[in-house]
Amino acid sequence: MSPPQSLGLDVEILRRLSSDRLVRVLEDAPGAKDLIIDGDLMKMLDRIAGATLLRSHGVDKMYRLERVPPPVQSSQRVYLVRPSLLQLKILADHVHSDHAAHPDLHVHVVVVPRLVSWVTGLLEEEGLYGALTLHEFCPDFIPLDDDLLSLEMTSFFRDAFLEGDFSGCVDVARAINTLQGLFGQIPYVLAHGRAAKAVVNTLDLLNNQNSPKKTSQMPEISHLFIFDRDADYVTPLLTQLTYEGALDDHFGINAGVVEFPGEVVGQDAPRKVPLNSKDTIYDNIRNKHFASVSSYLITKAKEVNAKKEQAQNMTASQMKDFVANELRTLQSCHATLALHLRACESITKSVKQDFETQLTTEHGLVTGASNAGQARKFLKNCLARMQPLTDNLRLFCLYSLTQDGLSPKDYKQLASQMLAAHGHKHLITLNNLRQLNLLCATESSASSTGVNRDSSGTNIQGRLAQVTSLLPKKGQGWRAAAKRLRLIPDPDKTIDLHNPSDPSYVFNGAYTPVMAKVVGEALSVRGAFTQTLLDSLKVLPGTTISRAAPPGSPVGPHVALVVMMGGVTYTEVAALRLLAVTSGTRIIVASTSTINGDQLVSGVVHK
Amino acid sequence: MALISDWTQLGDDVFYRKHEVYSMDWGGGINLADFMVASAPYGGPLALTRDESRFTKTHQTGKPLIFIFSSSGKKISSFKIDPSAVYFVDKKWTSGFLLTLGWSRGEDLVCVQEDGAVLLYDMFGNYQHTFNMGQEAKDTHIQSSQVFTSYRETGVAVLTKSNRIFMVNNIHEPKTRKYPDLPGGAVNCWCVVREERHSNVLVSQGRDLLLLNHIDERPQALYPQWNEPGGSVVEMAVSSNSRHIALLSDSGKLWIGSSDIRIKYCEYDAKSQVKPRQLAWCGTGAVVLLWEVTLEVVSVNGEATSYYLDSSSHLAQEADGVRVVGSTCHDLLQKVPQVVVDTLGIGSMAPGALLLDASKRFQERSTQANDCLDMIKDSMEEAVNQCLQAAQHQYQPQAQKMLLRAALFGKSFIPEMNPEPCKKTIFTLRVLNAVRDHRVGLPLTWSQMEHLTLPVLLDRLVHRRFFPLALEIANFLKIPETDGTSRILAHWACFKVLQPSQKSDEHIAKEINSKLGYTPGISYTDIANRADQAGRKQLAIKLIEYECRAKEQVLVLMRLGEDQTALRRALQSGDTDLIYTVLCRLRQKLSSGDFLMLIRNFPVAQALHMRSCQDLDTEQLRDILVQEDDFLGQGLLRVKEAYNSSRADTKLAALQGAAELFRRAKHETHLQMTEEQIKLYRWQIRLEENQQKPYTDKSLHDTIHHLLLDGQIKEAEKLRTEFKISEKRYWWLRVVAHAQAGHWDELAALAKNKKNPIGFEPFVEVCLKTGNKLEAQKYASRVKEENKVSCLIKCGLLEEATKIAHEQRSASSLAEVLAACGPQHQALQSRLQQLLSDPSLKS
Repeated sequence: MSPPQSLGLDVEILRRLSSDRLVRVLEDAPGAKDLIIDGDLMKMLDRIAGATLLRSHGVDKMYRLERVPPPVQSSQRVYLVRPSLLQLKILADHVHSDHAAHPDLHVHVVVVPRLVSWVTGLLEEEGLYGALTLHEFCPDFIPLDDDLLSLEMTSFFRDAFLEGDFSGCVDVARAINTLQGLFGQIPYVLAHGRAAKAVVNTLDLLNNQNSPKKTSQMPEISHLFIFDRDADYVTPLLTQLTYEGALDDHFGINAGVVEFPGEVVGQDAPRKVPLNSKDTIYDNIRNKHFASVSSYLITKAKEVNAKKEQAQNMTASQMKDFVANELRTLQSCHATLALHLRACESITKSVKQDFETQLTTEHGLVTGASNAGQARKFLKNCLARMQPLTDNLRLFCLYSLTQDGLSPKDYKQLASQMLAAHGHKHLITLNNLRQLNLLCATESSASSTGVNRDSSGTNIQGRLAQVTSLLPKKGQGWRAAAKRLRLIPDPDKTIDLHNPSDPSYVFNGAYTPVMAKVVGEALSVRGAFTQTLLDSLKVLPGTTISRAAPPGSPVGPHVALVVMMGGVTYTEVAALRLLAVTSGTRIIVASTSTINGDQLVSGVVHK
Repeated sequence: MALISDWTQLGDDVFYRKHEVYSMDWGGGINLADFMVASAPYGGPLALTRDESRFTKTHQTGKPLIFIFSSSGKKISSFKIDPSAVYFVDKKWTSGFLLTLGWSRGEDLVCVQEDGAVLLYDMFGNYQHTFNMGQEAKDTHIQSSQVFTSYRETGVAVLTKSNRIFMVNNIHEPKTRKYPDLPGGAVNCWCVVREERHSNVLVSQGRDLLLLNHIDERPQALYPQWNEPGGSVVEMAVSSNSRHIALLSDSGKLWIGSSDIRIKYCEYDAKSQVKPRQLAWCGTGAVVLLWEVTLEVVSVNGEATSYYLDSSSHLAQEADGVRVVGSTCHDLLQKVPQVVVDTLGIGSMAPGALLLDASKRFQERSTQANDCLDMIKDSMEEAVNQCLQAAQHQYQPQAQKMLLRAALFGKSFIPEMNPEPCKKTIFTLRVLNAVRDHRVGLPLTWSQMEHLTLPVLLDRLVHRRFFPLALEIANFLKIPETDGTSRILAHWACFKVLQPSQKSDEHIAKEINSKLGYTPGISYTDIANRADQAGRKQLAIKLIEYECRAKEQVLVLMRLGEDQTALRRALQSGDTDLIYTVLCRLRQKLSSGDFLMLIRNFPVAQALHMRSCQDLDTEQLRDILVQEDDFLGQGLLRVKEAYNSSRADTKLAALQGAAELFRRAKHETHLQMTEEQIKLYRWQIRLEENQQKPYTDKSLHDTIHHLLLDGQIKEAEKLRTEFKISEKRYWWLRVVAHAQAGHWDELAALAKNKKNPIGFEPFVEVCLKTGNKLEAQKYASRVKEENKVSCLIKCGLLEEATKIAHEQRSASSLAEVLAACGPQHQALQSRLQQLLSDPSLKS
């Protein structure tokens, strides 16, 4: 299911841009240096620049930023940090303690992605102004694959949607601007949601500052879609069923790299395996429904074995040829197949006992096929059985969302059990989830819940909610949205999970991710977005911005850039990949980071 | 021929020409003899002030009046030197006697006062800055001073009354240098001789000629080769390029040679005992002596000629000539360039001359044109170039046209000739003619223009406030916007905001915006800053509205004190960092209460501020919440604090506080849960005291779990009833805990209880989890029918599983068993396959 045609767009150039920029920053501290990296940035750095590149630019040793400073060995030390209070405090402690013993040590601090004023202020307060040199390093989208870009801003979802800090939008806008610089101004833009709006606004500002020459460039990307995560919470809450999604749910894929435990790789130590389209076997199975992966792998394995068997009947010269050419690929093929088979096995083994029940419940909730009572019973069961917190919260949220909010009694009961099972400190977590509208208790009598009290406007929570997302209006709950956007396919229509034609295959035909649906609708019409589509978007929280190229201007090939603010799931990526094939469009997915349900929920859990 | 009527021959094939460039706009009323005059090179402005040394000092007002004129005699400004500027330097009232006027390279007027103060004004009389020549110069006073061109800058040298020389090489970075002491005795005259990067001073004292530089400690005596030694030098002049020098002795002998005095070019007897009013170089080829109404030109090879002037005049030395400013007219005296001599000279047979002739004949429709062309057909290109170059050096448009026509005529015979030189000549001449117009008054020659370069010319026009002309030129020559149009417009806007006007600030801002638009390279920030400096804050605010770089805009707004607008703009930009910057500044500026009230109006800013408070300042966050009467938020904050505190009593207190707040917020769910937590916490504290084990910070389920693990079933029961845990949940907890602890007896006892609400599947599950298949088997047969087969399989009881599956007559169950069979179950496998072949099975 690779994209229909590559259309000449080389996203790999983005990696080079980022790595060049990094090198330039490193060369600001010429000579040998030690690199101390914020744990949050490790993965990203891995993707941008390998150890060899870093070494060739003077990096001697690399450490993770921790409380205890590493031993001083070079005369220079470069810190690579996110602007976070905790990390900066640790850094300041390092500098203070090192300074006493090594007054000559030269310290450079590289802030990613931007050197913000409060960082300077903080370091000044710490009495470090002048003691260190400040730099900034703004990475572009990092290509995790030839159709998947990420900024690896893992905290964006919490920052923006929970705390109302949309600063990340500037970085997203810059990254998109770089893409426009490379591939031309994108003529059709559809953005929905608050963060998306902020990105479009910033993009406009950046465009104003750019020289007008750029507009004459023939665009190589025709469509830009920007969505906020809160447009579709259901997708990440559901259990992922594609192979890649399952890998993410079970082992966790970080910046396109999965860390398989020892039992899967057949060794003692866990091993990191990059997952991308360069691995042809993986490329074939990544988007397959999990149910059909093992059979495919077994067939492949048999083919490989058959080839090997052929070899036994070969003449000496044929054999020589075989060994020289095919054997190596066959062997690596074999190894990969074995690896994925073992991974499949490991997933099947470890899935919860009542995986089937879980799926039935989830899909029942979404389609409305099963009644809510069953789901509640299952959820209570899970709580009683002390299933992991994130699993329970996911189900709780899904339950609340699909019921368009819970009755106060229901909510109280479930919340109480939730806290009893996982500790009362999660009162804050529940409150956070309510603020995100992931949880919602419908209005009862005078005992207003705060979140939805919009009339007085004095309530900070309510005001914050105004900032973070638009409050859902009455009668515009999730179910209405799902109906309007036709997210739930006709239950009578059978979905072929093995050779899918409809994006809803990713959830056994129970649900289509919003992104796949909207992008599909938009791409089905050449030219500007239809009013019907724009109207139907009104059911989602937030406002829509749409731009169309003036008639007659060049539109370029059918290439779409889909940006998800607050994380994209591999399921959505798979759905969009299918859409790419069916609509004959090249679709590039970009996001602040990749995400799954556990990450989404645990991101807002009170620590 | 009219073109050469003003030529005067000085030596072989060397001609000098003197032609009028302007008749002075100031009318004839000015007698230059009464004035101290300073003229800027490159056709720059003239500064005039009454020469007080020529009058008795009885009516001295103390504030000399200075007039600035353009080269065409148009008055630019007049002003009095403002003593307050001097006051600023010396911290006490001094009104120095103005000694010298001069012009800097940037066309600023340099005024040197007797007390060593140097004041700089622009040509409109606006005070720029000031410095002084050091304490000694101030104490001893200056007898004479010179403003000179140093290496890339303008310098000032002074001679104090105590015969000491001080020099500042760069008026923009005044650093006073002292030169070696002179021996006693009056100084006849002196001048500055630039040598590469440093400047030397040549002094004539008595009969000696002394060279001073700042490295040597003593002056070095020089001995020019006079024909009749013994005289003393009374006047000297250095050429514009500092290579040549002219010395005039008291006996009227003029010595011309290299500036290091080593080489003598010639000596000329001026036959006059009277000291000339001025001695100057005309380019590098001749020296000019100015008496009252006589001008004597002496070329370096000793040839001389004289001109008679109408009035007393002033000489303005240029790199390629000398300008003679009189009271009615302004003339340019220069050596006729060789190419012009070749082309226009009488009887010249140079290709250019022939081409010019041919062109004229052609226009007269004479066949002789052909003859001329025949003669130069091999050197046509040279002829064209000669005509072009000759045109470049013509001042009169008529002459330029004639020569250009000839050049183009010739060019048409060379098909592949590069058109660039022609184009450049024509375009540049147009520009030159435009700036030479008397309204502008920049009498630039071609070579001066080449030297000055176009960007500098534009700057000078802008400096003189000829914005439209500068714009026209920039457009005409198609100069890139950032260097041309937008830069000029930005200067115009900066000038515009300084002008007093009747119009409203808004109107001016709009006017500026309509002219400037959003051309790249224009910074509204600069313009607004300028307006602010001029004290027009409102205009600055209006102007900064047009700035499209949010960061610049916000910073300027903050500086102007428009904090609310700044905050609004920062919010619009969506740049969080910018918002933080504004917030930070507002917090410093306003009282806490005012600050909080202000940001209330901006939800996004408030959200950001609260966010930063969460990390840095919870008290401030509480203040906000209290201000907003947000009990829910305060309660949540309390809860957070409770979990952050390690002491039991503070934690309990915080939770109780939170409960109270939730009550006030009428948030029942939160209230109930917090109360539950308090109750649980109290239990846990009691348990801890009794059992010396940590229970706090555990959830209710965990607490019960741990109690069960420890066999404290009674305590667990108590908790269960206290917290109304449902049977189902409690059973689950027990099953899990018993299995984990290995309390198999307890588990068995539990299983005997008839009121089992969860079935036996969990029993099997937990036993298997702990790896106890044997225990699991005990319960496997008691699970529900539909789960029996899979449970038995998991327990490894395949035979039983087969039996049950067979009894259920379920094909899928049988298949499940078959799938679970390993190689050791050969017999069972075959039996299963046999059973599966039974067609009566339910599918």
